[in-house]
Formats: sequence, C-alpha cells, structure tokens
Amino acid sequence: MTFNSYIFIFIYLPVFLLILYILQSFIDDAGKRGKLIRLWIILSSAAFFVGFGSFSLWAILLSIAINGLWGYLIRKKGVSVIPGVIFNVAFLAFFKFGTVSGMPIAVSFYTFQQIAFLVMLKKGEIEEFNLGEYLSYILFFPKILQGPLADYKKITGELNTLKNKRVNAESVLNGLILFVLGLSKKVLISDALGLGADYGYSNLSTLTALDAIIVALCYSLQLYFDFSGYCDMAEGICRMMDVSLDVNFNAPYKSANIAEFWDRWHITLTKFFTKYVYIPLGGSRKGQFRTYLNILIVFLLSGIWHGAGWNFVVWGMLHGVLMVITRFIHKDSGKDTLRWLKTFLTFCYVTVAWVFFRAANVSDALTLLKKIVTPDAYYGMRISIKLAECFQLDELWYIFKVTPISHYSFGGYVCMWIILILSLVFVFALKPARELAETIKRRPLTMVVMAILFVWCTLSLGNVSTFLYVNF
Amino acid sequence: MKKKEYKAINLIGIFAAIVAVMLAAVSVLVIYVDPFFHYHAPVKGFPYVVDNQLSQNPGMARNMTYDSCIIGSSMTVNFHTDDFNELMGLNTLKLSYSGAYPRDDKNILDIVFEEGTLARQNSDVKAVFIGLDMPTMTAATDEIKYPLPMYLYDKNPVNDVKYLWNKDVLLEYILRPMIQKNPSNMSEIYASWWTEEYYNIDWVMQGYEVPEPVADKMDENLLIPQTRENLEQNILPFIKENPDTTFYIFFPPYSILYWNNVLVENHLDATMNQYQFAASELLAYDNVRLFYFQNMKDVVTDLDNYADYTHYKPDINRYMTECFANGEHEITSSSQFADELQKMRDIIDAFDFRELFDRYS
Repeated sequence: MTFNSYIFIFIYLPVFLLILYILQSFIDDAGKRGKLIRLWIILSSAAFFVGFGSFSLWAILLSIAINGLWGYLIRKKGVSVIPGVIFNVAFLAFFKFGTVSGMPIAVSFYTFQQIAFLVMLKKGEIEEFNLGEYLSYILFFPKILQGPLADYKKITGELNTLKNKRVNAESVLNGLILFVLGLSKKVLISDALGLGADYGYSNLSTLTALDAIIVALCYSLQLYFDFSGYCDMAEGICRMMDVSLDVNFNAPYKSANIAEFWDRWHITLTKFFTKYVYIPLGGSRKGQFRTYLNILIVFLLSGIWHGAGWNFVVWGMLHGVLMVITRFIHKDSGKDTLRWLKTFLTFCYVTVAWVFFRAANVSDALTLLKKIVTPDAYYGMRISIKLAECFQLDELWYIFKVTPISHYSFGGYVCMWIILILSLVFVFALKPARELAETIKRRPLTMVVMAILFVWCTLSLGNVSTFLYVNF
Repeated sequence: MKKKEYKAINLIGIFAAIVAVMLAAVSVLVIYVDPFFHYHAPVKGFPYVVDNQLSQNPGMARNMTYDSCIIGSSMTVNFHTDDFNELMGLNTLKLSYSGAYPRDDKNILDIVFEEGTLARQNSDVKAVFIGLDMPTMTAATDEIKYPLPMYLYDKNPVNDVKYLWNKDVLLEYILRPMIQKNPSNMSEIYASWWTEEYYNIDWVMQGYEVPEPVADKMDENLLIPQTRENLEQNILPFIKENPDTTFYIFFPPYSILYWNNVLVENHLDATMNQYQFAASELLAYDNVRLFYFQNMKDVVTDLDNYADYTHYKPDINRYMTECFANGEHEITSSSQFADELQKMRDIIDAFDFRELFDRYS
C-alpha cells in the first residue's frame, strides 16, 4: 500500500483517523488512552507494511527483534553499541550488495533509524527503553517508507501528545490541503516528467544534445517532485492528526551553492550523516585536511547508501568534491550578489550529478553527458519528436483538438514545453508546498481547486507508479 | 472590513461534496458507456474503440453476443471475423492475446464458458478456433505474457474502482471516441500494425537474427512432459467439459526461418516429437478438428508472405478460414499427422538456407 493508492486514500487513512478520533474522544483515563493510541499506531502501521509482502515483513521483523533486544541490553546491561551498529550496517549491506534478489521495502530508512536509536540509547539521549515507543518510532506509517529520517525524541514526543489532542476539523483541513498538494506533485507532475526521463534513459543512443539536456532536466525535476511530494503527503497525514514530522525539503533547487543545497534537500539524511558520521570522524575540529576528508567520506557513504553501483559512488563524489571546493573558496561576505546566477549554476551541477544517479551505470551516464558536450552539428539542437510525444498526456490531447496548434510545426512540442515550464515555475517561483499549505487562504474557492486536483489525481491512480525513493 | 472566516468543517464539507459529485458522475458515465464491456453489452450507437486485449477481452467474452471465438496469440489477430460469418455462418468474436501463453488461453476460455454471463444467456458456444503455438507449450502452466488487470477478470466489485475512476478509461475510451467518432471495426480488431508493404523478404531478413547455435542435440522427449502439463491444465479441460462445442485447433504456418531456428538450436527431432504428441492428444476427442498448415510449401518458403520470421500476411488468415470451412489441411489421425510432419521435414531438408543468408549477408 502506498500513499498514491485507492485503498490508502479511501479506506486506510479515513479508518485510521476515525479510530484515532474515537480513542481520543471516548477513553477518559489519560494513561489508558495514551497506551491504546500507541497500540493503534503500532498495529495500523504494521497493517500498512504487511501489504509489501512477506519478504519485506520478515526483514523488518528481524531488524526490530535484534535492535529491540540490543537496545534493551544497552539500557539494562550497559553493553556496547558497536555490535548493534555493525549488525545494522551488515544487515543493510547484505541486501544492497549481497546475492539476494530484490530489497526489502524501506530497509535503508529504518536501518538508519535503528542505528540512531541504539546510539541515542547508549549516549543516554533516550532515558528509558520503552518497547511501545520504540515500535511506534520505527513503524509509524507516514514516514516508514521514505522518511523523513525521524528523530526519536521528536517523533515519540509528537506521538505522546496525541493522548491530549483530538483529531479535529482544523487539523484535518490543514493536513488535507498539504496531502492534496503532495499527491498532485507526485501524480500529476512527477509522473509526467518521468515519461520523458524513462524514454531518454532507454534510448540514449538516439538522443540529440538538446534531447539529452531535456532528459537530464526531466529527471532532476521528477525526483524532486516525487520525493518531496511524498514527504508533503506524509506531513499532511501527520497534520491531520495534529502532529508534525521533521522538514525534509525546503525549496532545494533555490540554493545558491552546494552546501546550501544539502541544507535544503533530504535534510534529515544530511542531519543523520552529520551527527553519526561527520562529527564522530572529527568534523571540522581536526584541521582543514581532515575536514575535507570527512566531507568526502560522508558523501561517499551517502552514494553507497543510495545504491550498489559505481554510478552512485560517482554521484556522491561529485557532491563531495564540490562541497570541499565550496568550503575552500567560499567566504561569507554577507552579500548575496548574483544569487540567481549561483542558483542556476548549482542547479545545473546538481542536475548533471543526478545523471549518474539515474543512469543504469557510469557508462550510460557518460553517454548522455557526452551527447550534451559534443552536439552533432545538424541534429544537436533539435528535439526528437519521439521524446516530445512522451509528454502528450491524454489531458493535453484535447488542447490539440480545440485549437489549431497541431497545424504548426511546433505543435508536437507544446505539451512538453507546458510541462517543463510549469515544473520550473513551481520549483523556482512558488513557495514550497508545506509553506503554501499553511498560507493559502481557507475559503471555498481553495477547496474547489483542491477537490479538482484530488479528483484528477484519483483518476490518474489507475496507472499506479511507485515512489522513486522507495527503492533506496 | 473584516474578512469572512469559514469554518474548517464547512470547507471540508465543500471539498468532500465536490469530490463525491465528480467521482459519482465519472462512475455513472463509465458504467453507462462501459468501454471495456465489464457490466453490460455495448450501448447502441456509441463509437467504441477496441484495441486493448488485456482490458477488453474479458468484458467482451462476458457481455457480447457471439457463438464462436478465436483464441490464441498474434498468429490469430489478422483473422476477419466477417469471414467466419461468410464461410461458416458463425458469429465469431476475436479474443486474441498477442504473445499468449497457454495460461492466457485458459484465462479467457474460463470466461467464455462461464455460465450465466450475458454471452452464454444469448448463445451457446458452437465453435472455438485456437491457434496453438507449440513453442509456448513449454512455458510454466501458470505463466502469462503480461500482468492482467485483475479487477476486470475477477468478481470482486470493490476493486472495480480501478476501472470506474480511471483517467485512461475516461479520456481514451470514452471522451476521445466521442470526439473522433471512429469506432473499431469489430471484424478487424487487434489486427497487426504491419501494412501490406511490410510483408516482403527484405523486411523480414532485415529484422531476422539467427539464434546462438547449440552443439548438443536436444533429447527428443524433453519437450513432452511440459507440453502434456499445459495441454492437461490449460486446453483439454475445455474440450472435455464442452462436448457440444467444436474446437478448431490449428498449427500456424510459421515461415521457413522458424525452422531454421529449430535447426540451429538443435531440437528438430524434439520439436517434431512435440507436435506429434500434441496432435495425438487432441485427436482423441471427437469435438476437435485439427488443422496443420505448416507444410504449405509455397507459403512458408516464400518470405514475401511474412513480416517477420513467424507472422504471415492476412491473406493466409483468410485462406485458413476457408480451410476450416471446407476441411482442407485437416488432420484426422495420428498416422496422417506423422505423414504431414514428414512432408515438413522434407521442406526443411530441401530448403537452401545458405543461399538465402548469403543473399542477405
């Protein structure tokens, strides 16, 4: 079950909220109410996860059993945290690099959270081992598949407040608006861009230079709308409960340098690597060389975490190297001159790096980039009509029927430009959905727009696509 | 002036009401037109577009009026059902699945013979025409070519939501046909995209790739067990359970290049043995009429009749329909079939493959 499925939207989520409301409303004893709400969150989250099959289920049960036991031993017997961390790294490596076919769903995310849990227990940042809190921290369904990589204290603290709250119209409305915006980002924008990206990466040899640029751009945008759309939906669900998750995206493509980009993109992953890798390695406390080395190690690990392949290593290193260079030359003068140019260049660099992230291997990535830097004199600046046709969605087909566009030579390209330009406007000119959902005026017209978007998304669920980050 | 503040509950109500009305309207429209014929027979006058085998075959099998059907892979898509009416007086429905495995045939035959459907209330099944592709008979008995949209195959009304609230259904199969007003010709649905000019030797040879040679000869009995399994699980039950239905089963006339593959992969004897076994199994039933078209020498050795190494031109489909009607190329005994297979071997032996490949090297 994913957020973009009929069963989740029309059955699971309403039932979850209804029972939560009932528990909050009709149990007088606060202690009992808190326990039952926690139990409900654990059970409903487990039910959410069961749909991904027995392989994924057994994997997470094993992870929970081992980490739960080790966490208990850390707290009660004071055993070392290191075997627990080694287990988790080996557990993740087994699935990522072993001979097992396929990966258990969400394994990268919950394994990192298990590591964080054990380290926090050892450091005393978590005072007591509470099985219920631990299970709800790992399993909590809005964030289990793709994060955000939740902070234990933050998430358990938020969930603990549920016993003193009640699902209410205001919270549901707030969450609903953000959920619809996130769903639209995923279903209406990301999936449309994905058609172009999929075509391009399946037909590398036939791409022109301009095709290659568009394909790279499509994936860069697709990944953002997909992943941030998911996070918006997760946050929307939480807001319906009147709780909140950590912010994971904050208009990352508006960043003026790579350091800022990582402060805005997958923020919780950056925090994780900073807290559990960069700082333990010495951070910036051991001189310039060690600082740069630590940065490179962090991005190397980030690359490996994202996938088993040299292309992911290259992707990580591209970010790491630019981060080192940025750190070396960047002096914060307090002035923000030519920000638009810096933003443009950062976006271009990140987009080039995503080519390695998306391509099947380094060779394919280099093939695409070579197409861009060595354009054919005649075909280089042309756009293949086959690529443009990927964007001719059914909804847009009617534009051709009621206008004379199809009679012009550019007619076949109109849909592609509409989708690309709108996507760029959303990324660079509008507020992030999370912010938009908070500031948008609560009035009937807003709800009409939300309802239309929701129905449009619902009708598009027939061809269900998965979230990109669910595979990592 | 103070701005009006709307209550959250009212705004949610507006949202829910609009969503409910819009989804209800879409549902009613889809149920009324029913472009996949999931609920009822076609609405008179609506310009239905039929081009989706996976999604539209089950509904057509349930709710259309027919007394015979065509089952099989892309070897069957170029039949014209009007020909069956003209030559045999049958009202035939094409239910092909390109690339079909035996299990795909079973899945649609289950629906064809399902009691109580509108189709069966209107007419019994007088005849079933099955194109039997022997290369697929070694597939797993539950293997299907493509994942099926199960919500159109099962009887669970809840998952029908995937049909009712489906943008493709709404835009491609309801609104677009309403605008274009260009309905499918039911006699020719699913016809292959190759137009007349693609059926020529140059095109065939351009796309043909010789398989990797296999040094060891295949055990001649190796293909039998899985073929038996597939026959027993996916084909024969329908023949046994429906003695009043005539099953016209035919082996499609692949080109001589198909047999080159068999030779290069070193399983000619095993393949011939497989054909002989299948024919013997099928001939045991009185309601089976078996046809062997593969040894039509003039057809299979002339690559101008093909668009690739197996797919023949629509004229051949017409000819096969005539044979179903007049009994030509019909096999009535195992010994006769052995003779026909020997003729096929003679054609293969006599064909100058080297000359052909030299010409196109």
